[in-house]
Amino acid sequence: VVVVLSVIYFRALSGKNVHDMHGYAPAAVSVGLESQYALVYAVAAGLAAWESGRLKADGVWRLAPARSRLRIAAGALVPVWVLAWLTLLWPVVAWLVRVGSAPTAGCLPLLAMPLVVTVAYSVIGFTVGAVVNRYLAAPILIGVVWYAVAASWSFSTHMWTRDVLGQYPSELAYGELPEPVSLLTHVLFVGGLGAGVLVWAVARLPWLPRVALGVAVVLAGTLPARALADGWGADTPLSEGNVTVRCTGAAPSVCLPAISADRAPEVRREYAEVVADFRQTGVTVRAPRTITDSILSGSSGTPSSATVWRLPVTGTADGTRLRFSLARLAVMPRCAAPRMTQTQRIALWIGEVTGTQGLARAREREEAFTPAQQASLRTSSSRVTAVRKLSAHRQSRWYTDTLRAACSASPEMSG
Amino acid sequence: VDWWFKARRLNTVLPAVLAVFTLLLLLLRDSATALPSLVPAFSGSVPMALLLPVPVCAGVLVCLDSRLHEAEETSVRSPLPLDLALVTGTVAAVGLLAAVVESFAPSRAADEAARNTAFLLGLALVTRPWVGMRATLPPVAWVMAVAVAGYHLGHPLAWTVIARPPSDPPAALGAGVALLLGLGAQCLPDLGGRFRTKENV
Repeated sequence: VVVVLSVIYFRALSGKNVHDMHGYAPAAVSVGLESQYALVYAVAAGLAAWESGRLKADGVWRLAPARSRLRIAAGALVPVWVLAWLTLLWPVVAWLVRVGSAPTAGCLPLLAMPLVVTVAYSVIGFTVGAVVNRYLAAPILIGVVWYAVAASWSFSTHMWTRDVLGQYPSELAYGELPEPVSLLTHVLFVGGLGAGVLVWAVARLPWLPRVALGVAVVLAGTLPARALADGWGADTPLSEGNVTVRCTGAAPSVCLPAISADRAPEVRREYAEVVADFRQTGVTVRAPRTITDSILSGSSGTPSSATVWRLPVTGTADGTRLRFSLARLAVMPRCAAPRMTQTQRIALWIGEVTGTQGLARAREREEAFTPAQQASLRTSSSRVTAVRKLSAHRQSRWYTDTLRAACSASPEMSG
Repeated sequence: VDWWFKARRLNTVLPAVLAVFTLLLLLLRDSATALPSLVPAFSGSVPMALLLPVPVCAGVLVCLDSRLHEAEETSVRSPLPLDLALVTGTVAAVGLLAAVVESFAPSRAADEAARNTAFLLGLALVTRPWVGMRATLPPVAWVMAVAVAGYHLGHPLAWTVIARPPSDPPAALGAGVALLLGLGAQCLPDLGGRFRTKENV
């Protein structure tokens, strides 16, 4: 069952695009693990309950102990761990092979977390199996653990559950690594539960202090984990840009990840052409301090600023598209909520000035849904055609006026 | 009947699992969660209530497994008809409890509880002569398989049976057939499942 479900899971995931990972090992690891967490934890808890029930049925606990009871329990759990860990790790290996990358040191914390959490779930299962009939305990634990872990991903009311049940909740994008604290919460929560039941099961105390001690240990693990995760919502802490970045030149300096470092001259050339195109129409582009690849901001999509331009370089083979991105970064309005009509006209004008008309028009067409928006787009197009026939001086004045209108708060139409 | 009743632990195990079933049916009702979509097209919102028959099936198997070997193998009257009655009676009890819950807290989960229990119990019993008490695991494996691959564009596929709407005739038929096959498997001799020597499972 484990093997069959793993294969289904893995085949289901294999449609994902390997190229988007750009050989980044932690991304491969996170996708490989993603399909396995719930199944592996369920199996670890269920099998541990089964084994524990078997020891009880065989009367092992009634025998005079030659070995310590913890060692006997661990001996029964080792095969469970090995099976669970193999189930957890084989898709990771498969993904690393597909991506063509060796695991890096950055992958290790993300790999270690589920290995530890597996042990914690097996301890919980073992203790349950020692108390409850194993034929009841095993299927119920499998169902409950599997559903809880798998569903934690989509609970919208208690978002913290996704950060504590052992399932790292997001796929890492290029350059992203989990913050250690976001892995610690899983270990604390499930580990706290496991340690609590372990203390309850082995402590040589009267029942009341034993229960109290167990509950205290459980709370000592789960409460801090919950408190840590409570404020995160859907944004589990990540660090971005954990790859080698090479910067070349100055004013602007072009900073690209090592995988695209050879494209720095191309970016610089397109930048120079864009600046020259705008100078011909009388518009001076203010140079940024840095031009960088937006892939370095991972999935968070940190916006560009006047001093740092971020544009997709890796994965964009087309020079025209680079120029289109650079041209927009150069002269599009930067205010918080620019007015739509003016923004559209500037965008179409940028296309005409820099020879990226096709991309500019396609983009505006995609954004015009309603008949009214489509009519407005036609007006804008004819208006921009007229503007392009003006002298450089008047075009630059039109641009300045339109930019001001786009960013003004009062409703003002500018020709 | 008297010793059979106690030997099968019908006075403890079965009421316990049925009580848990009723309580959870009341609590969960139709709560459903979208489980992590594997292929987006094959994901669906999976009701928690699909798991409800799992403890009931396990409970019935525990009851059937709990026996007095010497007395049962030498008795004049075979306990087999009683065992078959235990299985059908459990499904009937689930249906009755679900109907009671339905009467003051209507939910789709209650409508389909008896059908799903019949199907999963049949599934467990069919495998039992071969795998013994490991037969408590096929029901939960079935629910997992349904969650992973049982939906297409949000609609449950026909083979899932338990995820289909309560009024779906093929699903009801499937559940009935599964239960009958399960009852039939009860009449088979031990086929390597060693379910008479539970110590070895």
